[in-house]
Amino acid sequence: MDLIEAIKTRRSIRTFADTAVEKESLLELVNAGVWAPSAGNMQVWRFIIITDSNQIEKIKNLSPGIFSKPKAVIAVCSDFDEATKKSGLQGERFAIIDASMAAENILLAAHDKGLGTCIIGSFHELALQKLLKLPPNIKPILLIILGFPAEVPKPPKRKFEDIIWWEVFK
Amino acid sequence: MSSMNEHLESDFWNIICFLVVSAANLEWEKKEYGPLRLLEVATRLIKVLRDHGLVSKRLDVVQKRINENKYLIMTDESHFNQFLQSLALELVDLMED
Repeated sequence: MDLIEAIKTRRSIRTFADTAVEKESLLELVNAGVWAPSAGNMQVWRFIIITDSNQIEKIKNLSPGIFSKPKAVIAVCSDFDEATKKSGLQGERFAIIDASMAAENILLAAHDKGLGTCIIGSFHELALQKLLKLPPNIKPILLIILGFPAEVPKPPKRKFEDIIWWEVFK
Repeated sequence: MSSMNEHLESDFWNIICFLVVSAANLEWEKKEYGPLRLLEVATRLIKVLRDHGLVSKRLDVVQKRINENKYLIMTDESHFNQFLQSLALELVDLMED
């Protein structure tokens, strides 16, 4: 798929068909994620891939932003201790930026494979950390829910005016 | 516990988790998510009741209306708010004498 076409046709998919996603595909998606840029080449992102339906149900119970049952979830996390070690006070901010860029790569790679995804930010961070057995230094930044789309929504309008300035903000 | 009760307990457990986490998260989530979470709970409760044999046309109507309109919150908040108000008025029509 052409890159610009992929960017413009990707949608947030919230309902999924009852078709399993191959583990091999999930690994390929994460592999696309780790080719994202990383501030100072920190690479402090960590990925938990969840395919077990009981575990997905538990994640759903801690994540009000998940409305249906996805076939897989990728928890994009960051090691904040390592980020601070490598980038000082900027480390935490960079870790969140890096995780987000990795996530976008994953979304586009998934779209290329015909998979639907949605970024979930509405979850209880500490409860999710406990469920996923993450040590205190590794925090979930966002969840990517995925599966084959059951429906594809229309895109909301994108603003182009009043968001861009040349040279300086006016 | 009978298997039917276990199923019911599990369905309610999921709803209770949703309610508790939603309440905890609303401290830092945008305020418009409050009504969205309440509507979501309404649809989940209606689904549980239907799964356990309760047939209700008016509950089905409410569930359908919510499912068709809840994602407006993501794209058009004023439309979402209009939908909420119209649904509240529609309840009057669905009330039995």
